Amino acid sequence: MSSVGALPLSSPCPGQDALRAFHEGRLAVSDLERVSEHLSVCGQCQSYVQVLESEQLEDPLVDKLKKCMQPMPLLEEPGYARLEQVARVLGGTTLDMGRGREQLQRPIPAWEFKEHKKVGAYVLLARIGQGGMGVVYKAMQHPVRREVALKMVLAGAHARRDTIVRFHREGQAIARLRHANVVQIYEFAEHEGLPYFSMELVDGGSLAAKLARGPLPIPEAAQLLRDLARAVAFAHQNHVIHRDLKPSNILLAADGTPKITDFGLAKLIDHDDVQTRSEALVGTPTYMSPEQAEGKTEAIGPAADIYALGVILYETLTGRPPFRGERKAQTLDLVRFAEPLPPRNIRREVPKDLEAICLKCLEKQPRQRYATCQDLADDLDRYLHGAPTVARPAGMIKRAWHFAWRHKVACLALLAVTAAAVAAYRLDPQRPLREIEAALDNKEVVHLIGHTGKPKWFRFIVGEEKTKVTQAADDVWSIHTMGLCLVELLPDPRHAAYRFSGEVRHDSSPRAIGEAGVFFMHQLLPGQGNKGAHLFQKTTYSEEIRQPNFPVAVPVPHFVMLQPRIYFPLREGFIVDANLSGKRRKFEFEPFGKRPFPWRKLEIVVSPEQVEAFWDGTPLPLQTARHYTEEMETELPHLQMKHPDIPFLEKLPTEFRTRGSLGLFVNSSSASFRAVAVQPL
Amino acid sequence: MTDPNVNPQETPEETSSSLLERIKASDQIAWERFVHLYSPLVYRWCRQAGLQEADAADVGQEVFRSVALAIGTYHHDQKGDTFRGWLRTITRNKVRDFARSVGDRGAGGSDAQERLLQVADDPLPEADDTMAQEENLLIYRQAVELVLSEYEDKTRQAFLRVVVNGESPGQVAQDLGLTANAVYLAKSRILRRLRDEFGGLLVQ
Repeated sequence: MSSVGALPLSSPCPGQDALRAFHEGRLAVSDLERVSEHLSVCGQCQSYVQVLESEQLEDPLVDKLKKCMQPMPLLEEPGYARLEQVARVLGGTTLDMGRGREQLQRPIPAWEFKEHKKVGAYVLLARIGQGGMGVVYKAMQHPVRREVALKMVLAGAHARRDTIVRFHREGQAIARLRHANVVQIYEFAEHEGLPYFSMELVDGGSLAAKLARGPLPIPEAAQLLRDLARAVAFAHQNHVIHRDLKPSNILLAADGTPKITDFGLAKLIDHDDVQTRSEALVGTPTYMSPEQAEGKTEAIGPAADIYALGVILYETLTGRPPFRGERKAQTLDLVRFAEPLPPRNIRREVPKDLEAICLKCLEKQPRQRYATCQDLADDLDRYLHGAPTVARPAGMIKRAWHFAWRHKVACLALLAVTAAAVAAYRLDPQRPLREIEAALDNKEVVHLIGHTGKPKWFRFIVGEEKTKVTQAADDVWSIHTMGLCLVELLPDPRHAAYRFSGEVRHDSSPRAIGEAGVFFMHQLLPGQGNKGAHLFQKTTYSEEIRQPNFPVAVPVPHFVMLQPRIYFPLREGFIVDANLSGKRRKFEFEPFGKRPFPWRKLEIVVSPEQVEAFWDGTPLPLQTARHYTEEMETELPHLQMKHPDIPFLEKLPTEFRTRGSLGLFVNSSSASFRAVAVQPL
Repeated sequence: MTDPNVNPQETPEETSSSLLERIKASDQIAWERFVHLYSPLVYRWCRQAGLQEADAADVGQEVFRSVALAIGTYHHDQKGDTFRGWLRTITRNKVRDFARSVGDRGAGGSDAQERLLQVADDPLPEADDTMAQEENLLIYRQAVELVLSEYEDKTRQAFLRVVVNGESPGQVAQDLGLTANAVYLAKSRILRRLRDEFGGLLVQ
């Protein structure tokens, strides 16, 4: 055992052989420390080692290391990282010889609650509730005899070692936050493989419960938000972003002091999701910032917290959040595209300055909100002290004014038109769709997507949780999806005969089944088990270059195909997704071969008797109503045999119904769209 | 810290026979080490067969799922059979399954003939000598990484920069905020460890 501490003042030089062995890593481990200590004080031996180092003698081990430790592009591929990550987790549930196949389960983790169950230094007293992130218990800490709250974090069944380590590490940053308006976290720990943390017990209810009874008095609302903004600013200064601010995350102490909880935890549990890329939208989008709603996770920063505070301020002032649709999908659309109704329209007593602060937080572009949360807190403070605030409402009305002032004659007319348009738009977010339908009823051509830019109206039918949309610098609108995605552009073409045309550009796909195009004749069938099934037709193609440089390619030809398709997502891991015949209605094409891929023109002419389709001008084989029905009836028995436990497949309608919804189809790809139009015939 | 089950004359995968024993005993840590050792190889095979990245990741998962289920019945004693060969067979089968499923959805319909056309006879031909060498290197690399992962970040970095990159110890010491002797110690210690673990595998 080598003694630690005292260096032998006159330890003899180890000799050249020993030094050489040390240099080559052949020295016994017990001698390593001793020689190293000697080296730190003996200049002569040091220079000898340096000489050895510069000699660079042959060493097969070193040679081999040099060869194998070079960077390897194959290992940089995200596909590889995902494979290793998932495969490691597999061991936990599948390693059970002779027990037959097991599906990978993801049970909801929670300890079995037994009164007085001991968890670490705590004894469970009661189950307080279940938040979006985990079960919460009231517990007693021993030996200090303090009541705390214990919160489980839903981090997947029996979190892996490195998840727990990371949880501890990142939890430290959050635990260090000490602020009167932040729920104090005491410790992050793990019990029976499940991570949890203990925190200050706050039992005055949440802001959400309070708001359920109506809006707050205006001074109280402003003070509350100022205090919250200060707390969030403090967290930002300590490099912690909340990411999930909402009234249910704001607890109220017995004396009314607001305390923010669940700071930064959204980020902690993100990574554990095995589908690393599917940014599943958990919870309600009501408090989500537009950049979060679009899935642009790289763009999510402190500005998202500022936005959320704006939503909360709005709700405390008016009694309701700025954007609330009937369904999550509608709310998302509103968050992304609609302008909020100014609070004064709902509650006249709201002062202009306070309204301006609120709307500044709710700007769609992060850079137009307050630069920092401290700025927001300061502005609220100024308002509370009667000083002039920084926020000023800028926007359409103001710009219209500037223009109108120079053309005074048209001034009044413009004002009237602007006001009416703004009022109408704000009161009815479905307006674009109604305009489209009115034009169709009038037998006019409707441009659903212009030569650039985003659709006038759209809605995700399938795949929104795995999809994001982007608009590039050149205004090209694109869809990026990890699975199957249907984007509805028109719920009802209003006629049984129409021309549906557009330009598609399949940009890339990490999968062999990647394809892009359009769908039409979509019907939503009752399916089973509360899950609807989608039956539609599609015309799609794939431009993605197959692997040319690998020795043996599994060739997947490039086809343009027109075919019916059934998509029925009963549940994760159990999806019916099949083309229903149509193998005759295709042709093989020569892909462009290099990026950027070209725009392709798709045109579909539908009538009650037939479907004609054209791809870049080339016609696909004609599909008559009779073809459709016959092929469906031939194909369905095969499908039913494949899925004997899905009875509704036996009753799939086979009639040729052309008046169904239409839109864009993308499967596991990135694709761009423009110049999409519908013309009644 | 030498593994008593290691025979220095064995090839890299035979070294893992003790690892296999531990996996059979449902040792999660052993399983993760195993995955780290072999996932690059499985992934590489899938990519060589013409699969794109995301598809290779999916098929690779299926391979490991099969391995986890079948490992209980795997026996290491048949002459001529190697673990790597067994793994390769599983991968080949999964690649073929995948190609068939693409046929179902890609070109439409249930035309069995069309589907068969799309699956190459053997998407994974037997490796020639050069490929076998490369595969050995892949496994070796992963094994080295496993050893390295047990050391502190700075120790590991010092070692890699001096030994693999050939940087001057003085410079590395400065960059990492270590003394020159600490760098020498890092190199010496890890080299010693690697010699112990893999000394016998330098024949190739």
